Amino acid sequence: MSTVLTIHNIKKNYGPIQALKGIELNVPKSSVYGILGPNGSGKTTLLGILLDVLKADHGEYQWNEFNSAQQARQQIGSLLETPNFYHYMTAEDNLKIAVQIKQRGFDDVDRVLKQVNLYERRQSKFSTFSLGMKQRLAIASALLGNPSILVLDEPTNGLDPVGIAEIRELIIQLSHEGMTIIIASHMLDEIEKVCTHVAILKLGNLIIEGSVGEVLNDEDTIEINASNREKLIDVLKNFDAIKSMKLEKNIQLTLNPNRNIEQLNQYCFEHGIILNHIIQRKRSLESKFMEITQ
Amino acid sequence: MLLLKIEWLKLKKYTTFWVLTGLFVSLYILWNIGANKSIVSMGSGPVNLMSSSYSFPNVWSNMGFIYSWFVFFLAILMIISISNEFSFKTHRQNIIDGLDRLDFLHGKAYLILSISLLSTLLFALLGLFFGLLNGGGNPLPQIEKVGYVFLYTLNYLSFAALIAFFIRRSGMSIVALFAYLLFETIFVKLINWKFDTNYGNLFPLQSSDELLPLPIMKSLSSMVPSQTADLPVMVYLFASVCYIAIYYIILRKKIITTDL
Repeated sequence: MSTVLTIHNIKKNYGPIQALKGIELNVPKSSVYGILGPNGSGKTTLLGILLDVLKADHGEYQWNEFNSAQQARQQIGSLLETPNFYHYMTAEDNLKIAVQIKQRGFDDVDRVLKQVNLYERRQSKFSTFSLGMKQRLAIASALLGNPSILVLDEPTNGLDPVGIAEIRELIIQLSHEGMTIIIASHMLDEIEKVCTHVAILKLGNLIIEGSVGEVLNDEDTIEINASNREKLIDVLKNFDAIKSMKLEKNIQLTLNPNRNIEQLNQYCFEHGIILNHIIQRKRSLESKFMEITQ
Repeated sequence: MLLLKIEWLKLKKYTTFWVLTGLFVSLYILWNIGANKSIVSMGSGPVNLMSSSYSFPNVWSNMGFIYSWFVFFLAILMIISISNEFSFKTHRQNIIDGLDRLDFLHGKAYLILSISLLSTLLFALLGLFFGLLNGGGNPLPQIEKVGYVFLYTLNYLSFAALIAFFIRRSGMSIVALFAYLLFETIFVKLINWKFDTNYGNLFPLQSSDELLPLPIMKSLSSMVPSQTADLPVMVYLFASVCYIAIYYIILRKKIITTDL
């Protein structure tokens, strides 16, 4: 799969504070790429560098589908931190400025305003908007010109639960259309519901990167039980595929790499155990995240 | 011209822009009408230093001097148009949307150029109008003042832009501009007096002020024997151009290298 963005050894200091300590990332085409990290981990700094509002002290990045960084910014849609618009201008007039900068047609303004349900309020001044409406206008601005790549920094900030669900649906819909979406957030369930890939940052370091499956899959927990629980435990103790075992109401297992639930089931059967309960639980991103970042 | 068009989109719906432009145009016209009719005066009784002449060729220097006061409205306008970008963080948004950092600066530079050209045009048309109204004659002598007015505006607006790019807040920038003017005026006088020289006139804004002096003061000072000869006008022209170039170089370096 081709990569749309390559980041090589990016470092950034704010005085004595190292905000980014040599980040390496590759964003595959058509992925929904989540950048996760607690507040202060460097997510926004990284996106700020990719969008040229911040200067890296070291390293480089390349938007592979574009000839220059400026052309990339014109062609991709971005939302960084807070929505930034001229307070005294209407939603429509604000988007017209973005359209001019992106060198797109004015007719696109109506389309994106409808897409985020702000068309009825297009003639209202930005200063009269609620936080959620401002955020939706920023998303509308990012959607101008049907970009092939979207960069979103905390896109659901300030939105109510309905607004959050709408944006999530929009992201899923856009990704189905083949758009590459890079999304930074500290809201894990948000990321988990939409992302195909994740990178986790902590204090400016990249802790882990890969597809959601790679990051979480080998850590799935398996819950099993049998009517003869004691025998089951004895059998399992001799099975070399078991990485860890926790005895709770059901027996909770994790397996060594390259071993799977089918082998477990077969092993038990061959040793005279019929399982009456077997559930594979995907490890939640939240528990993984907490483990990594604590 | 895309950059100028973007600046125009930002300003055309901004009430403060129209208020300041309106104040500049209307007050400058009204003041000149008043001075021409001796309603506005400086001096006592029949002596009015303001209305000394609204006929050619003195109308150019007379109106040029008055112009130099009113340019503050334009300087404030320039400060607000830049500081707005910082307070709304739209300077970041413009870059994120695909504007090159230098283009952001150049947009403001084109705005300065356009405002300077238009206000110089206003000056030229008003000068012609008053000159023709007061007996006509040959408008060409001293017409170089039109060029000086352009350079003067360019210098003041670029200096205001420099302050706004560094201070970022409109109120503080306007205060800083006035504080600097006060400081410069005092310092220029102090240096000229202390060292018995005219080189103090080469401070950034004073160098352009020297292009548009109060005509009557010039004639008065020429009557008083002085040790120090006034610097040639070419020196002031050169200094003004150099300062504008220096502001540009400083801002260019700043916009390219710093975090926004």
